[in-house]
Amino acid sequence: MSIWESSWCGHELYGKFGANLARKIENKEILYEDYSHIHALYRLAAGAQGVPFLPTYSSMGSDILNPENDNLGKAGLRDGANPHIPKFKYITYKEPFTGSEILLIPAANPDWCITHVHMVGQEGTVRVEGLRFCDEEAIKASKHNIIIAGQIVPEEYLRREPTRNLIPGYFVDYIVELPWGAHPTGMYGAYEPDGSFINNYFTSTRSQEGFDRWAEEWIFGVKDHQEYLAKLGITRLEALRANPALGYSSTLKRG
Amino acid sequence: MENKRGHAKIGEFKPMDLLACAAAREVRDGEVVFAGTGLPMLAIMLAQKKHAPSAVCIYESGSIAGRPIDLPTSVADARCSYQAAIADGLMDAFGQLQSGRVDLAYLSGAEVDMYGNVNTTFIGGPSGKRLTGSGGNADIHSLAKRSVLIMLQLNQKRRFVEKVSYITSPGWRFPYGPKREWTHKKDVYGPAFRGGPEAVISDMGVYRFDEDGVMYLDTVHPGFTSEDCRANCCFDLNISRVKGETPTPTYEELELLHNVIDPDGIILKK
Repeated sequence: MSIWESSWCGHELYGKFGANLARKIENKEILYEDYSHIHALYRLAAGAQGVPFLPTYSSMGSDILNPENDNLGKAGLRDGANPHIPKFKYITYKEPFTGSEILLIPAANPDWCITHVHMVGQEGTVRVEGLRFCDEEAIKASKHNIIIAGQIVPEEYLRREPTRNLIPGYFVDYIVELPWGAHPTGMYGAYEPDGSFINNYFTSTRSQEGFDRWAEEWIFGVKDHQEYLAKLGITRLEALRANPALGYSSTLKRG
Repeated sequence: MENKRGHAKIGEFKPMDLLACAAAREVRDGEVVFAGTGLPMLAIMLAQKKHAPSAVCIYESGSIAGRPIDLPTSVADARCSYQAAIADGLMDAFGQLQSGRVDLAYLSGAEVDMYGNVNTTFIGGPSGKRLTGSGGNADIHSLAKRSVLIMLQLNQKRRFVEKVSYITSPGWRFPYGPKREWTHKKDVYGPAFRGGPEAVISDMGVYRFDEDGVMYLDTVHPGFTSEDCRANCCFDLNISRVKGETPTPTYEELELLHNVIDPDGIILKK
């Protein structure tokens, strides 16, 4: 990865910030471009709707919008040569309806989007249970999609209740069935984030050497996903499993 | 504890208890509240159980008006969505925010300045120490009617600075326009101006903002003086308007916090 454009990187209560990204930024090993959540969301939403921008009032006066912090612009990358890099980070526009200043946030259309969901049909229909974050915007903005699902199910099953589905199959290029595939994060109503695993990851990533050791153990040191799950162990995974009445685990020790 | 009435005495509560109670008291009944992870969750749940039963909470991930029975540990926690009216996504949550539906928001940051500008991106500016970045902080701080910042201050005066080293989230006044002149928020936001920072609640006092958008000390937590608060600030804090002491938690509030809302000590460490 050479350019990171986003709004946030961290682990909430399980770790203070994204230590790998922070180190790369501090060492100037990566180009980064900050946005707020609304800005990042609107970039994808504009991409999904096929319009060049969406307007917002959010965060006017933030240093996110200070031209000094337009890092891609300062690196000379806003010359139109790369279709993924907009010519402007944003535009301040005096809009004609009320005469107020508003920001125009440019569309983003990624080549690839990888989404983890609850269920995908054999023909690619996507179902997300519970919170949908910006799954719809990100998937529809992207040229190609890989859907990783807890379960692949017969299309007919999802089409019995189309109101519960999010994305039709023709947006989807590949489907992958991967039980517990969101670990160490969670999947709404199915299993919880693994807080102690995430906290250990955060602590390990405070140094490059720590991250390298972590990656050797948890990424390169396991042959496949099954071996990863076996290494985690059934006791650990079962503690994360959601109680269907609550939508989250009733056995996980917290605090 | 549950049989006692009235306010607890010094020594019967911890600084975090007072922070949570002072924050909860900012909620008015019936309000729409936008909360983040940690103390804000304690504050809104306490307010709902005490004086604001019809206040509703929105979490940025899209959980709308949940009725959690267990304390969430992130804004995406399924606990936020227990008995929610809607579990949707960011477009809904932030759309409600931008259209002026959110009365009160709880936020935090690494640094705050005298105008309520908040930094969650870099300590020491872009060549300094990298933090998480904005997330929803800038959106929420700029578009909610009132926002309440929860900050640690005691022996951390570096968090209360004259000028934040990076304005992630704009407060009442900030540099704006091609000349980057200090401008009042109402002159920038047009029809989307509907308020700004209402209070900063720290482990030493409660701060508010005057007509010019400048922070002043409103109440001092018991055990501290106005001078202590000023000494833990890098700018010349206005202490001329102090109303008195921040009320301590009541026994009822402590009972709710420790035995009902956070019995496992997830945020209020035991």
